[in-house]
Order: sequence, then structure tokens, then C-alpha cells
Amino acid sequence: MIVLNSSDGATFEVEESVAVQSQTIKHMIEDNCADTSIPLPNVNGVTLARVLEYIKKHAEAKDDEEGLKSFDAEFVKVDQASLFEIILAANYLDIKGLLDLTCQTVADQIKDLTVEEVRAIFNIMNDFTPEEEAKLRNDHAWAFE
Amino acid sequence: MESRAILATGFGPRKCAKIGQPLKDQISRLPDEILVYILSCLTLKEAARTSVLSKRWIDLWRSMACLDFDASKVLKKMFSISSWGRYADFVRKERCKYVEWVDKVLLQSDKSLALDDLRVAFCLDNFYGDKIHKWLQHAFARRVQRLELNLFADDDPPSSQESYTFHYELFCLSSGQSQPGYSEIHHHAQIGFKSLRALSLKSLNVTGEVLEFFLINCPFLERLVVEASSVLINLRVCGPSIALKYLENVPMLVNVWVSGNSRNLVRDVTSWLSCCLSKLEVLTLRANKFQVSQEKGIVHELPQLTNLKEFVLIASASKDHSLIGFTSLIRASPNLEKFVLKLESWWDDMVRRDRKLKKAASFPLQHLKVVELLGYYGRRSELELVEYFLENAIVLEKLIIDPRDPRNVTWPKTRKERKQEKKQEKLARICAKQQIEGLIPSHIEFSIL
Repeated sequence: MIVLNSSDGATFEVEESVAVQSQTIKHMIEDNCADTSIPLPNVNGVTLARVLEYIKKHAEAKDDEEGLKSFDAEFVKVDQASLFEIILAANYLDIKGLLDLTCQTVADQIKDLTVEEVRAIFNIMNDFTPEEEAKLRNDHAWAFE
Repeated sequence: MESRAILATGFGPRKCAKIGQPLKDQISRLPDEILVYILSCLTLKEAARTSVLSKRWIDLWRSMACLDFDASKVLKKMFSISSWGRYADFVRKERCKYVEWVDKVLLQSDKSLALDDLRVAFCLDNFYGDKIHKWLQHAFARRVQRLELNLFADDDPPSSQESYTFHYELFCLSSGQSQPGYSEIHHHAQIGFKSLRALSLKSLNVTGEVLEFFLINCPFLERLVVEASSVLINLRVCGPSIALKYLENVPMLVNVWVSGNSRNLVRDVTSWLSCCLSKLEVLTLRANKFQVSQEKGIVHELPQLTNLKEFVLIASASKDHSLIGFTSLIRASPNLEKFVLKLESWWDDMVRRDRKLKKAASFPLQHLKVVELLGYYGRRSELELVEYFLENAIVLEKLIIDPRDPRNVTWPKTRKERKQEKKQEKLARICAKQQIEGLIPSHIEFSIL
């Protein structure tokens, strides 16, 4: 069993065979940095719990494609802030499947929207002057057809 | 664990303690590399649109490692224009647009950034040769890993004078003697070839020389697709000795797809690939109408394909010509485990002739476990094969019949087309049931999809 410490002091136990889905953790174990517990200063407790939920499910139901698909679909139904926390955690912990899933989710949100709609959804501030924006749109006219 | 409330994005209750503060821009917390990763899940046009979101996003899309210049909607429109005059105008206009697009995006991109995928797919011929040459130079300078160049000729096969032909300079291996700057480009190009893992060249002139170049200089090449090149036939003339020398440097080449215009496809393919034949694991052959009619059950003395595990035959179902001749390749593959037949029919191929079933020499197939027939329509040519396998594949486990069109059509079909298709599929399924079900012994898993 591997012990993981989140940034806010929460402790989690997980089987080594499950934890190595994270390449970061895998390398730490291989380099013998995992004697007592592994500190993860970049991931808070709530997010780490969610990530562990993911890797546990993907370890136990490895061959059940349908089951994993529906699990993944439910897993990403969270608020924006949490989704981004999970993305950052998946990136830091180097868990490819989770990173792919979460990034694809964000991409799907952007897919069919106009620029204004994307700005609204993600609260991105438009720091262009109208002239700057018009020029950019003109330069990339092919993208806006 | 706290319960997960699903908040409507952007319009939910304010989470900030301070009243009057705008909702936070969460996505900007993500580092550039993750944003680029997200963008690479989008099409090229969708990603480029994000450049207008805010100053941070202006150039993020340019770091995408995959460039797919997909114009399938335009191509679909093009192929559906009936009047020649309008077609010619449309093609001319759209070609210019497409070329401008690729120029703008590809040639302006950062040469030092590695490129994973480049796909250029549009009907272009040698008139745009110089442009294409520049794109290829750029791609190789960026150490492209997967390159697809599909130039959709008007005819099939295209007339060789008009098809794009590789410029010899692209392959110049000399360095040092040339003018300053020139050798620098070619130095990069040389290095660039070493990253190539997958190469797909359709509807352009690929000579034996070019292929040999790629095979010598790309040690990591895993997948090679060459299609509709009317000059591929010249590879035979190069002689097996040259092929022998160079093909030895492709330890990774285990998956080959071939289509060409040779007279005897099976014999020519095996002589062309003579020295990687024994290493091949997956072979896909595409036979056009003419070649199908030529393989009339001629028994070839073929070299053994000792490692071949999967053989995919894509054949044109024209006039219900027999496909039994292709079993010569199956006999030459002692370790074959899977055989897939993809039958491509045009509307006038949907005929079932009533002719005698041809038979091929009996030969036990020791490892063949799975046989799939896609595009099944109950024709004699298909029945012949089913009988052949039932007789000879002594360890056969699965027989799968799929009447659906196996082509990966790049555009969505109209309702009428789909309705017609569903009708034909239904008919084919009934046929399959009637014709085959009775013949299958109980230990073989038989499914009609």
C-alpha cells in the first residue's frame, strides 16, 4: 500500500498496482522516494480523492469498456473549477487517460460555440481593442468561414 | 467527501466572497501546454478561432502538434456538381483557397517546433508542385512523424504527367558543398526524415526511387501507404537486388498497404516486397477492377510470408469476378490468423450472377482463426470464398459477415442514400442467412452484422 499526502494534509492509502497509473508516482516509487509516504504538494485533498476514484475504477474494471465509458461520462460532470483542478492534478501526476478525458471534455465545450460564447462560459476577459480584434479575425478569415 | 453539485457554468451563484467581483477566469490558471493539449482535440479551424479569445490565446493554437488541413465539406460539394462549367470554376477557386490556407498556416509556423501529424488532402496536381515541395520541406524540417499527402486525382489512376512528382532536391543528401543556407535546409531535411513513422501518399507519382529513399532514410517507418500512383509499376524494373539492399534497413516495417496498376497484382507485390515479405505482419492489398479480373485462379509460385498474421484484401466487386485467385497469397502465409475481405461496390455492381462456383486447390490453413467479409452482397465471388475457408481453414473459430459498405466515406450521406443503403443491407443479410447458415458447423462462431 502506498500513502499519499495532499497539499492540505489529508492522507490517502492506495494499492501500489493502482497508484502506478500515475507516472509521477511510479517514478517516485522506482527512485525509492516512497518510503513512508509520498507528498503531493500540488494537489489538494478533494481533488486527490477524485483522482483516486478514477484510477481505482480504471484498475478494477480494466476490461469493461462499456462500464468505463459510462463511468468516465459521469466522472466529468463537475463544475468548471473542479474540472480544472483535476486537469492540473492529472498533468502533475502524469495520468494520460485522465488528462485525455478531461481535456477532451473542455474541448467538447468549446467545439460548437462562437468566440463570444466561449468567453462567456469561461469568463475570459476580452483585452483586445475592437480594431485589434477585427484585424485578427481578418488575418484568420479562413477559420471563421 | 463533499457532494458534487453541478453548477451551470458561468451563470451559477457567485462563489467569491466579495460582492460585486466578476466571476473568475478559471481556464487561465492552466499552463500553456495544457491549453495547447486541449486545442489539439479540436479541428484546425476551431483551434485557430481561439486566437481571438484574449491576448493570451493569440498564438496558442500555433503550437498544436497536429495539422489536419481538412476540406472534406468542400470536396463533397465539389463531387456533387453536375455541370462541367460550374465544376471547373468551383475547383479553380477552391484550389487557390486551399493552397493559400496551407501556405498561411504551415509556412508561417515555427520551424523549430516538432510536428506530429501533417495531413494535406485536396485535389492538387503538379501545377502546384512548387507549393507542395515547400510544404514538404517545411514538414520535414519540423521533424514530422506522420505525414499524409492525398492529392485526389480526377481519374483513377491519374495520368502520370499531371500528378505531383517529388522534387529531387527534397531528397538531396549532400551537404557542405552547396551555397550557404541551402545546405542548412537540407541538413534539417536529412534529420527530419529520421522522425518519420508513418507515410501515406495517395494520387501522386511515387517511383521506386522515391520509395527506396524513404525506406533507407527512415529507420522508424512503421506504416507506409502508397495509393493510386501510376508509376509504381516501375519499381519492378529496379530489380530485386536493389530492393534487397535497401529494404533490409526497415526492421519496423511490418504493415504495408499496396495498390497499384500492375498486371498481376499478387505476383508483382510479392516480388516488390521480396525482402521484407518474411517480416510482414499485416498486408493490405487493394485490387481495382482490372486486377481482380486478372487474378483468375492462376497459381503463383510465391515466396513464403512467414510472419504474416493478417491479410486484408480490398477489392472492387465489379461484375462478380471471382476472387479465388487471391487465395494463392493465403496459401503462402503459413501463420495467417486473420483474413478480411472488404468489397467495394458501386451501384452497378449490385448484381448477383448465377455462375458456377470456382474452387481453389485444397490446402490446410493451420492458423486461420478469423474470417471477415465486409460489403457482403451474396454474390458468387463471396460464396466461393466462404466455401473455400470452410473447407480449408481447419482451426477456424469465427466467420463474420457484414453487409455494410466498408468504405470510410469522408462526408455524411443524404437520407435518400442511406435509405437505399439500408434496403440493400437488409437484402444482403437475408441472402447471407439463406446461403451460408446451413453450411456452418456448430463449433464456428457465425455472425451477421
